[in-house]
Amino acid sequence: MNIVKIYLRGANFSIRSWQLVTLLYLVHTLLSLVLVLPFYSAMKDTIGPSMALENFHKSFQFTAWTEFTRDFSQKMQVFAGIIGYALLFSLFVQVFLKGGILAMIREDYARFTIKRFAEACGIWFMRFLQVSLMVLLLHLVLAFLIWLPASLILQHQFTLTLTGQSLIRTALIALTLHFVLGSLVFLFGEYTRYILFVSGTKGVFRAFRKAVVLVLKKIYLVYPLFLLLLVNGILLSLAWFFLQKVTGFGTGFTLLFLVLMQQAVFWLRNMLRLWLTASQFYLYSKFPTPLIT
Amino acid sequence: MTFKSPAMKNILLLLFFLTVTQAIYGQAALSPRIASYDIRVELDTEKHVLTGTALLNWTNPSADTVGELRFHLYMNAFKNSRSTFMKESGSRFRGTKAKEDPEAWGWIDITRLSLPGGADLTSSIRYIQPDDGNPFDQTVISVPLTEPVFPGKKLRAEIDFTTKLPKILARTGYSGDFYLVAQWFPKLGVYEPAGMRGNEKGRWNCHQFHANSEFYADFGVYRVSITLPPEYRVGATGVRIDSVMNADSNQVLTYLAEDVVDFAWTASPRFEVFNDRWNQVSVHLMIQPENAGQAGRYLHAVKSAMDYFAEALEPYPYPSITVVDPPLHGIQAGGMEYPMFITAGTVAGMPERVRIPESLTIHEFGHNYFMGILATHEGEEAWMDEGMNSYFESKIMDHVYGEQRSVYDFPRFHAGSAENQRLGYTGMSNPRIAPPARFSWEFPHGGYSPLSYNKAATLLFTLENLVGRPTMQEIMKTYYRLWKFKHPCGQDFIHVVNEVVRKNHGTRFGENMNWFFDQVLFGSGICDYKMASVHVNRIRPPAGIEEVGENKVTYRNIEYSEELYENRVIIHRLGDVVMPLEVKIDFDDGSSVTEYWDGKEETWEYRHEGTRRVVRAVLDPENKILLDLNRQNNSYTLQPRQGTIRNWAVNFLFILQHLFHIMAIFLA
Repeated sequence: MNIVKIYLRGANFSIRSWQLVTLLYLVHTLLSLVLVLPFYSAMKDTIGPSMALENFHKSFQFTAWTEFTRDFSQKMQVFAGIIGYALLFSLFVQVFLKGGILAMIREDYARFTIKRFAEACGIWFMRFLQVSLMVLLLHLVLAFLIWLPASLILQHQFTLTLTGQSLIRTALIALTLHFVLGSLVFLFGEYTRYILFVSGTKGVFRAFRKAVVLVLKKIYLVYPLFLLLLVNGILLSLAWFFLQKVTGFGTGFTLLFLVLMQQAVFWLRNMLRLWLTASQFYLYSKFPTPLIT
Repeated sequence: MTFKSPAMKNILLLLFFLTVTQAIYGQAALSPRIASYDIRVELDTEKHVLTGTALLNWTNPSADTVGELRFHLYMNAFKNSRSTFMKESGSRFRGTKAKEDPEAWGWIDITRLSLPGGADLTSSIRYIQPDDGNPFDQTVISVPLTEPVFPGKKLRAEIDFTTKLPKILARTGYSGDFYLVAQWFPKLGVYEPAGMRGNEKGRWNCHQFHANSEFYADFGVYRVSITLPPEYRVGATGVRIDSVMNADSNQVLTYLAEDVVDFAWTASPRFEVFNDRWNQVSVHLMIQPENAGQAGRYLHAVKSAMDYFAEALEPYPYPSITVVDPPLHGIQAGGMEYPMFITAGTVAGMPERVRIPESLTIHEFGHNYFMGILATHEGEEAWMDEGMNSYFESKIMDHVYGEQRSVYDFPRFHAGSAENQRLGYTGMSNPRIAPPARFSWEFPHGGYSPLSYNKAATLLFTLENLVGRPTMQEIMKTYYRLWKFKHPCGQDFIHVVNEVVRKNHGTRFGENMNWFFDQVLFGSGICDYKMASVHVNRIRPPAGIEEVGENKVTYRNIEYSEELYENRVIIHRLGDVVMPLEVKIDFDDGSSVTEYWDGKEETWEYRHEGTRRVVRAVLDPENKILLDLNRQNNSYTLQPRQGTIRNWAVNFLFILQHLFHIMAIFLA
């Protein structure tokens, strides 16, 4: 029953942490707005006084969409570079926030202030950045190790095999392998941060080795949380698609409703993430004695 | 009776051939059977080599005395990297380097060419290069005759040949145990009599095989016996009339195809075969096992096309049609047309809402009409087969599967075939690169497909919108009725257009429609009209000084009973192409006017003074001029509604939020 209690405890924390959730929501939203505002401005500039897109809310029009995107894509070329930088900047911001989030979880939200939150962010930033870069590197290596042979096999199959089905099977096997190993890399990174955070050590590589052993030994405990993270995302997406289908292509008041729904969904998603992060952390370190040591 | 006109002579000769061929073959000939073949061929599936003998029956269709024969040896295009085909195509071999894989090359040798009871002409064969003089190209041969063929006389020649099939490319060859055997035998060129297709005098029309080119041949009767291992399943042009096992336990399959311009066949032990019928026509589908679940899609598509063509032109005149679904590894065999035999293509798991197999099937089937029956020159005037056929493909797709959703049909993303055709042209990086009416191999890089397929189809849609659908239907029916089983050229089609349009519309579009074709078919100019601006200015009461008699007085106290406005709508012609246009102008009181503009000036202005204010104006409101490159600039509103882009912006915000969030989960 301990694991259930941990989930409940994590949920309890995330519900109480509406300020932290809102802070995370705002950070993501501000980062996104930095890109969306010029995007919107460029779209307005592209369409000008034309009525080509006026009836889009009634039905999708391939011609109007193609002609618009053709003109718009030229403006977007500059924009695409900005997105890359924004993602990089965002990565630093996210890494920065992680220390604060873990501090809040450890202290069970007892003393939330922006100052304390920011202090914790600063303390852990460099170590967590190393972890993130290591994880990123591992993801790249993993992609290379899986897709290089997979693409060679696919090329070989494309030339010689008799059916197209084997190509699909090969691609599915590679995808599955990538998913499973990729999720392990994610878990290694996540528990490296917990080990660093709880032990206070600066040895990132040593913590990473410990995390690898820990995750592999306790995979039956840590993996369900990872899957829950995915399930949450999928369920929210399905709910979102359903709502969007009901509301249709919003303009005017329906657009306002659409925006409110979107933002509510995203806020909720931040809360769910906090729930799972808290649960993972408790699983490792908190309740009643660390389940994973 | 003497013939002053060579054309008249040729028409009479043609009638003579039709009579003779009917007498010979015992049933009504649909075509002048000028070049007929009786071929026996054996496929060596180990070496991918065909060994065969072709008995050619050729009748001189002209008033000329012909002293040589010219043949296509298409397979020699794949003989080495120095052929014209390979040089033009950059030696594309699906990424296989020839040095590493010598089995990839293909070639054809004539080992004997003789006239029955006459001379052996083998030693007099010489390669010629009528198009580019490339001495390494061996795709055309000239065979001087020891005795000339007189007008209307027959020639019989016996040809032994060996063909090594290439690894599949350019829609022929082998891949694993799949064979698509096309352009595989020595094929006689077309002797065009004077008057035919604008020729001043008779000549052989026998071009080299180019990268961007297809085929051209005379009608005839093909009787082909194919010997190959028993496990192979075979589909071919024509109807199977015999099937026996020979002493080597190989199967010998004999096919008969009448009134066709070519013969192709396929073989694979893995085919699953589905048989169906459309009226009296046998429909055969030879499909890969993993794609068998899509058999219904193929069959529905081909039968829908038959329905449509039966209504739009005339019923399919042949007794059978075979549709081939090539394997993925031989997908280069897909999307090709031969008489009574087409190849389409799909992949396992192709979603039903992505109608690529359907559009391919309908397109390739349409070629039975536009190339197979209306036997235009695919190399010299590709727009006449590819363009007209793409026009019909889109009409059929949109008719059967729904306008604006016939190709992709998802709830929030869908596209129709006709709009795809147009966007294929308007999306070109340089639409001025060449006119559609040009020899295929003379198109600059990247121009062949969008101009001969997409622009040609789009110009036909534009023509239909201008003259009206009933007139267009009459044009196509008349063109088909006059030119089926013949070799029409572009001017023949334009002549039909001019006749029908004049009959139905008088001089509404001018003396003829040449102005249209000169601009968009023979010219490379672009069409783009732009709604440049809309101005609404309040008319103020006059101010200042006016002269009343000899006195200068100041305007005073003039009040209009209601507010008056000066409205101006300004249109610019950005392109060279001139098209007649309608302009619809909406006013703030809900009224609207539609003005007609001949489109000739570089700018045009509509002016209106009154109590009404213009709120929006639309050029070509019914989207008739599909050749207009940019329809986004065809409208102008003073009351812009930003709902769509606001919707996109908030959705983009939502996506970005999640993107950052996911990145945070996995990396931070």
